[in-house]
Amino acid sequence: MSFIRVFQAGFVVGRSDIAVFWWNWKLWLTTWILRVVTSAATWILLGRLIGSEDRVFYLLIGNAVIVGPQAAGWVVASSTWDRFEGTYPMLVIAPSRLAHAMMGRTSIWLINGILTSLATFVILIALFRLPLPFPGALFAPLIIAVVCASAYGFSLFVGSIVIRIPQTRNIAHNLATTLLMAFCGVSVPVSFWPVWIQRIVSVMPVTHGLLAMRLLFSGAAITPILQSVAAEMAVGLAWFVLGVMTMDYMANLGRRDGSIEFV
Amino acid sequence: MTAAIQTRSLGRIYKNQQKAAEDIVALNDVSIQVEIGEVHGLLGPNGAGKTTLVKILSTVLLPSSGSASVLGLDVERDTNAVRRSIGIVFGGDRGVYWHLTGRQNLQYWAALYSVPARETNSRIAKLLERVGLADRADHLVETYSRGMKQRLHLARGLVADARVLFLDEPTIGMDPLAARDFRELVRELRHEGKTILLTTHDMAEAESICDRVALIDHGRVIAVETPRSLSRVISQYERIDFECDRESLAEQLRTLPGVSSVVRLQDDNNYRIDLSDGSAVRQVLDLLVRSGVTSIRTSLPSLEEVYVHIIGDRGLKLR
Amino acid sequence: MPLRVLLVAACTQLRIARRNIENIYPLLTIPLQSLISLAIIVHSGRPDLARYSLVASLLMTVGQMSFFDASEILAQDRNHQILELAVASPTTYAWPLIARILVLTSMGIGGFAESWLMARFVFGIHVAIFHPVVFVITLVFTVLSGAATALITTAVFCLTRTTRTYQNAISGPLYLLSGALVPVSLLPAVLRPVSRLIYLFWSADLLRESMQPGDPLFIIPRLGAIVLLGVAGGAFGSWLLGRMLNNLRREGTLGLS
Repeated sequence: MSFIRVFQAGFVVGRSDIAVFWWNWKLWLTTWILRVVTSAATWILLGRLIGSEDRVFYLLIGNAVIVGPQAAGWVVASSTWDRFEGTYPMLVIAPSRLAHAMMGRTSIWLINGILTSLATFVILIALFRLPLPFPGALFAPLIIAVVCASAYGFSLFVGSIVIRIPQTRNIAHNLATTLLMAFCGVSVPVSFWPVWIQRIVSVMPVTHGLLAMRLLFSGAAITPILQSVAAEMAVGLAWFVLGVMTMDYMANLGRRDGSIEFV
Repeated sequence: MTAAIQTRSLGRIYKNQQKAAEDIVALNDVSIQVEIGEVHGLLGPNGAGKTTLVKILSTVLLPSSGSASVLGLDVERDTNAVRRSIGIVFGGDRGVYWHLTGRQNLQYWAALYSVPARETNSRIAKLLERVGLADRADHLVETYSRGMKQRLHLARGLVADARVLFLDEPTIGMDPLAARDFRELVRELRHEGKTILLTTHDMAEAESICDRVALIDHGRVIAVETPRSLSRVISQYERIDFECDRESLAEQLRTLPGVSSVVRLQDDNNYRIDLSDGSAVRQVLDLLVRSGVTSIRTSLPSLEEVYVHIIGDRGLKLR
Repeated sequence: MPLRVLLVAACTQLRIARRNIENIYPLLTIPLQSLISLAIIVHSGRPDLARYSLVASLLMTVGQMSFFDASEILAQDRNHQILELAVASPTTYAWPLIARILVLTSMGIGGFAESWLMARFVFGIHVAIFHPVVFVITLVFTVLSGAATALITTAVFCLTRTTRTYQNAISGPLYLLSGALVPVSLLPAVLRPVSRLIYLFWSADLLRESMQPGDPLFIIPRLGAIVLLGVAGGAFGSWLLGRMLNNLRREGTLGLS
């Protein structure tokens, strides 16, 4: 009960955060989605430059999915905003759990991630005339939601570390999402990379969910798809739990070394 | 009866990462006790350790040694129980969300402090009224003036209706009128039975609202007294100002027992006598009246003078 | 030309950049983008296309600095109440500003070098520069035009509080339309004329051609286009900046507090 109330309270702050950037959906569509779609299109056109339509579709699915985790990655920056607003010590002092309020505030970026990925998918499919597998394609939104949620868990973890060093928030966000884009099967198959990278990537978000999406579009059987989705969920949940624990740990570390400033 | 706030030999050291020898001692063996219902001031220059003490008491910072408790609850062991019974306000215009309205800010903190849902709205309305923001409650905080943000921040600290309040330099940057209103509010809160720990470097503020004041410098408590008796700590005795145009009278006064000094103030005909013994007052006044002096004033030194005297005229120099 | 002002401003910016990680962060992230594009190219068995990846790295670093980080200089000056002092000084604010931006856009060279090394040592592709003179001249003009054009974005983005919304939005369309990574010939025909208004478009083709054996054609007119767009951008930008600063003076919002 208390969790729900604190989460809701935090969500109100999160809503005001996103409204600073896009205060209505038209603006969101004409600025944010325009940017995301054109960036994705640049990558997809590289496939066309190479001269392979298979490559075009490979890049399309990868990029349409990854924009969701990239958008959800704003959690990294947003978890440091309380440091700048002087509210962080207040949240630490408050009797409710810091992580609950943080989840409330940052969850708006998870929603933004899911919507971004969905919109990008629809637009890119229309632009590049990707053949859709029916009725399988109807499950695509579900996979997107799972991938974004697991990326949210990962971003919460990165954010919980960045809280200590808030000036690195943008670079941390950018590095985290670019590395996911490079290694998790967005642009080239995971198997392209050395084995040690493949091992790391198998416990990173996006990898398994994106694989599920590719299986879905290639008309694979339901079992391997579900297995990949389950793996993605497990990875995401693990990062999420780690993130919540780190958040508490960092607050206690701050109490010990005196780095939580009032002003 | 348990004290509202108690510290025993409290110490806090900030580690210097490069040189262990240069660790900063922010608090050193601080033992204070604040009774329930008391308004207790912490007075000292910047860097004296006031904020460190408030941070420890409000559970944002862990002590390096000693112990501290609020309403009998240990700040380290019973952290959550302490958090439920305290409210905190610091000076400046931060600590509130600028992209929310004033009311939304208070609703947020009410939720975090588990204020019962059915009480929340009426309590917030009353608080907004009390800090004079009722008219602007539904405007975004970014449109508020600095003073309004500070008042909202104050309301935020009161939203949980905590029994113990920490006010860390709450009037910093306030204009004199706002500061006066604020002090009035502190008096009201005391009448309601709240215990208040207030840090300040404004002597007048401490003098006008505190029951007792702890003078703190270099992380140590130098004295804990009522504002009035604190004044007596240095100059235990009264001082006498008088006006006269005869230097010979001043000479005569200097010979009296118990008179430590007679100084001429500026180039005027005003003199000030500092006494080292209270019983000399009568003799001095006698002599003055007999010599035909009619403009005589007796007074106690202000807290400001005490402060400057004890802390020294270090002024703006930082450690 | 107040040469001393330019030099001092540039040195100041270098000192700031040394201590501020945000200032050099395109140098950390943009090579990662070339890691991605090089991987795609190598995986498709087309290492001959590596020059696209390298040019993109250069142009995206210059673009990032010119369109985004440059306006951050003014925003910071405003936040720290330095803008008021700068405007009150006898030097026109645009001069030190452009010198400081130039320090940033020059980092595009670093972005290119990093990507070249990445191609060489991570993927084993040696990208040769067949026409070094054309390459260097184009590079220098690009960096200069980037600094000049940045005055426009700086002025525009300081006008409103909501600048980030729009600032965030332009990177995608900008790189797509200027052909920074893929040539604009792959775009629908209706979009292509717009590309010619962006200095990055002229740089992109010329740089890529300088890394091919065949002689590039129409070198002078194309370099001229880069310079012309840079000068026009700089002139318009400084006029706009002057107007904007006047606006802020009128509203009393030169300093944000």
